[in-house]
Amino acid sequence: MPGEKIEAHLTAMEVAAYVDNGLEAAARARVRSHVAECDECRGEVIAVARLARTGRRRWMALVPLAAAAALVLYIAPWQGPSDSTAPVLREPGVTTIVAPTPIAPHGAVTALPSLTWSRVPLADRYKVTLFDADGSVLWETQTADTTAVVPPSLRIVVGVPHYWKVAARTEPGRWVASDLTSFTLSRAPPQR
Amino acid sequence: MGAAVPPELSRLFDAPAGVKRDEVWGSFVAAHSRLIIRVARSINPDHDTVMDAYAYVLERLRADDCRRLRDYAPDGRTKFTTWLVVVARRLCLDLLRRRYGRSPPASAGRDPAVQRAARRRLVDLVAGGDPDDIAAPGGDPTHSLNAAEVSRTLTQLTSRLHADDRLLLKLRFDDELSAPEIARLLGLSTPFHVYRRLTFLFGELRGALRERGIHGAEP
Repeated sequence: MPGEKIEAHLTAMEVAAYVDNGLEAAARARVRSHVAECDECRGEVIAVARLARTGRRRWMALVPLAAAAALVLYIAPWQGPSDSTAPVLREPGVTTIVAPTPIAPHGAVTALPSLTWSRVPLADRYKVTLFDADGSVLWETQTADTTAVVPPSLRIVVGVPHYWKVAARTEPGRWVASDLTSFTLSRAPPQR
Repeated sequence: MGAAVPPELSRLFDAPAGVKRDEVWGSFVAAHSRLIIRVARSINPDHDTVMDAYAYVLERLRADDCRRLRDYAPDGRTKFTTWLVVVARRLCLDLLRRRYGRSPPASAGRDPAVQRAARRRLVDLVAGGDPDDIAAPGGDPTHSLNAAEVSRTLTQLTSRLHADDRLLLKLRFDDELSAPEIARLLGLSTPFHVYRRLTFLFGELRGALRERGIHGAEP
């Protein structure tokens, strides 16, 4: 219980095993119970989980890059030195891909005519997914615009949280998605 | 998850002292430098202190015939690299503590006002806020209740929750983790489980506040 004396801090092995999902149920519950009270251990678990995940993501990101590089080496014929007098036309470099930000709906809304989000540089397509409170997909669509009109036939339950997210395609096969955003319709839409 | 000592580690333990040991240590450093620097960078603000921390971690890992590394017991519960992240991070904090006194708490670097605001959002959500703000904290904090009293009562009520629920609220409102991150940490299969549990807890807490005569909570 809160306020009780915190037992000894977690060992390095316990923290690592918790982050790697290697603990049995009872040990896992014990760790959760400890970090619920111990700010220091909770901070450590969060930091280690983030660091471990960053490392894995980097490696995973390298796999398709390596595959693409191998493919390019295999299929791209050697062009020889280029003509240095030819004009070089290219888009300005984009070094960071940002996720689209859901703009509306969010929180309590009285109507749901459309979904709107922020533009992502270089994105040529957006995929919008709307979920019900249980996480089931209610509706999904793709568009090149930053707004998607919700079909009148879509059934949104009044007073129940729904969720949506949007993913932007920045190049073929590469999508960057927003966080889930929730909204609740506060009254039934008028019959159309 | 393998239960064997990583090869570079077993080679290190088996290598005879001298040139051979130095060689194997070099291989170990080459294999894990990137990870240790990433850990050092997560704690230290600038390049010089990162490299100081990196050097310190390596020095401590090698000290006493690699005593710290020998503590790693491969039992199949965790990967060596995850364990190394924990140990390297603790050593980095140890260096900070030696230099600047007591190491900063887990929430170091966060503006106290921001921390208060994060905690405050739970009060707003339960006592008069919009439950849907759980998806993106930051709603309007105006409400008519006596915030101090509500906050105190809420602290009492949350202290009686199950440890898992207290942890969920802390991860969301004290640490400001996203729902997907919380789901991963708590072993929940989707962020929707986080949202649903939070919605349920808000309902429970609102009910308990009403029972105590605090009627500002909107369902």
